[in-house]
Amino acid sequence: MKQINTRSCVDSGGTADASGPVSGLATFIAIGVIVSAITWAVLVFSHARNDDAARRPVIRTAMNADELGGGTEVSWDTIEVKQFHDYANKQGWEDTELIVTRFVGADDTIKYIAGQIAGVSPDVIIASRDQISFFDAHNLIEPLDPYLEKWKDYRDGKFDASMLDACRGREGKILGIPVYQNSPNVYAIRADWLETLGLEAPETLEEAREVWRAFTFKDPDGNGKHDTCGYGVTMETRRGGHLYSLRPFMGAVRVTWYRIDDAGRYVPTFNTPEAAFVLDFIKSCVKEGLFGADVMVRPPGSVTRRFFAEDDLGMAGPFFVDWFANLANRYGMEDKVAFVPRLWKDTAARAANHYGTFTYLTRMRCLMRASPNKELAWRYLEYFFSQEWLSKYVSRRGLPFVRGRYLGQFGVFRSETPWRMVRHDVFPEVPLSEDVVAMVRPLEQYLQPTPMMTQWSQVSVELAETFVDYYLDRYDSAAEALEVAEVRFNRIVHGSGTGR
Amino acid sequence: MVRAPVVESIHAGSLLLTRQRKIILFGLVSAVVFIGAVVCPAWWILRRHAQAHAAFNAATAAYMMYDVEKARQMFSKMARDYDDLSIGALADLKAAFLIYDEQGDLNEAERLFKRFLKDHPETLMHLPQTPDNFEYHGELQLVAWYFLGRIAEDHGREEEAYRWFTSITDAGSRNPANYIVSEARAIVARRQRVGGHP
Repeated sequence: MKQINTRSCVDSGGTADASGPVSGLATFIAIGVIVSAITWAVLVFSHARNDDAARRPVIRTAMNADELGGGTEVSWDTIEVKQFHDYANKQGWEDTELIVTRFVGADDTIKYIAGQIAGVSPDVIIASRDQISFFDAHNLIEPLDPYLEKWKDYRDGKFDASMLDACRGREGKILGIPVYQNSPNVYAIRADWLETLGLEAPETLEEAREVWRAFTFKDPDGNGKHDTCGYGVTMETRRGGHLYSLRPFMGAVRVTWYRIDDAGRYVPTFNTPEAAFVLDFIKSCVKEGLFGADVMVRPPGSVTRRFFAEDDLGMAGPFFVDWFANLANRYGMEDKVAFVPRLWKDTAARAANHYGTFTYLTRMRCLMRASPNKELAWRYLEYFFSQEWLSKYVSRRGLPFVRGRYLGQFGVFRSETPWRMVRHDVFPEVPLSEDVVAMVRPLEQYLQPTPMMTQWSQVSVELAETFVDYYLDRYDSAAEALEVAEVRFNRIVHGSGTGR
Repeated sequence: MVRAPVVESIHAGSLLLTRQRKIILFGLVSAVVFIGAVVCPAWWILRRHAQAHAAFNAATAAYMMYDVEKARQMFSKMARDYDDLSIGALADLKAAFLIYDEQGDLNEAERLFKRFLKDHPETLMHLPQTPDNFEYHGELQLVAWYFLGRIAEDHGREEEAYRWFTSITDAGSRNPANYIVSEARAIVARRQRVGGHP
């Protein structure tokens, strides 16, 4: 080929000799210019797109792993991103992007902090009371009051003020918004065992002890074995689980664990003769074996699971009626169990209407102070707590993943029916039984608020250890155990042995 | 007569006659037969099951995204496309359930559940093929009986409803954690307690 071309150039008489290299160079330059132009255009275009993407408002949310549902291939992230996108379009926020991050593992708090240190902190988090109080103590959380006050729905009184009051931190600011509040706690009892033994449901602690004795020693399930016990208590101390078991009884005598004084200090409130009465009551039941002979050595486990699945407990608590129906249904126990709304300390307390109880809020959604654009991040909360979304959340068979279960179980599965929603204008589609509501509603007058406390997870472990030690005769009296517990409380919270 | 080179070679014993070549040829033929007779059908069956599950999950996803009508259509389609698989029959029940539960069309739901029983006269089991605790596992006819009981109840035909529910409790299930049976037991017990049924 080369030879032919050379010959051709020579034969053309020199003209081609002169124009050939020139035109070749021009072509080369032209092609170079075109290629360069295209390359630059592509680079500039893609840079512009990236720049545009970088400028696009992004809200990052993070949730604990256990917020996620299971049993379906549709991830919660996908669903929430889609729902937010639909809502944002209606609000004219089309360009706002939502990114949902899951923290998988035990201690989500550390991961939130690590995210902040790494500069990739989420704007919005879903957090427990313990987490929120920790963030509050370290000034990491953004109070929501100014955002709420700008929101018409809030100004119009659509939100439950008392529920939001329970979300206030050290300085009285609202730190997060829960979805709903559980019912006041109640007990559950084996109605079929009561019937078998010809007993009535107890109303006082002493009556309860009599019933527990029968459940423990009179073979209520009729199998000829000594394999039942009266009441389910956990003695687990590693996470302070025993205090959860103890709380309904302390509530009955109106004992709380702590309060915040006028100076903003946490003051222990449990070192009282009433609390000593409860510890003595529990200890005597332990000694009688009414919680099971192995109560002290039983591995940590759910009393709820034993009550429903293992079928060996006569009574258990605390329960919240909003999820109890679902559990009873799931285990086929609906017709075997009944509620005991309260156990008075004694007949005198009943006559004096002296009682206390407690409840819980769902996890709260909060704004992080480190968020680079908090006004933007607020849009997520406005979306999540809008009437539209919350209505879907509770009225249309519950959360999307709960809906998945509902469909999976042909509607026989019942999702948790919220007791009291954070918004007044949102109602669950499947209401609680009117009988149950009529029985439990009067308990609301006895609710005792519990302020958030950063060190509660540590304190609860120490208190649980002290009380279990008392049941094991390591203290001479309940009063001595309570004294020690108070010292331990103050050492953690105030760094000293003296609290008051 | 001039023979073709291959035939000549065979006659000369140069092809297929050595032991080593026989083994190779036998191995090749066996592999082809095995792939054709076992692997391909198994692969086809597995692929079909995977497609059916993907279609089922997509329909469930549509329901979870609040798109009920789309979900119903997808369940109906997969019931037709996979009518030889238990998951196809399950999808048929889901479509009927959505007519009952979401649309509240009792007559249409009743027709669909009865058609299901007619289409599946023999006991049809749906067994777990994925680790899913929230999907129904057990005899599929029980689901149709249960909803025919519910529909009869909704229509005020109490005796008929009771018969459907007792049919379920009498039949029981090979799945000890069958919640349809558990629910039917609770209904029967409640009716015996308050409704005067024996």
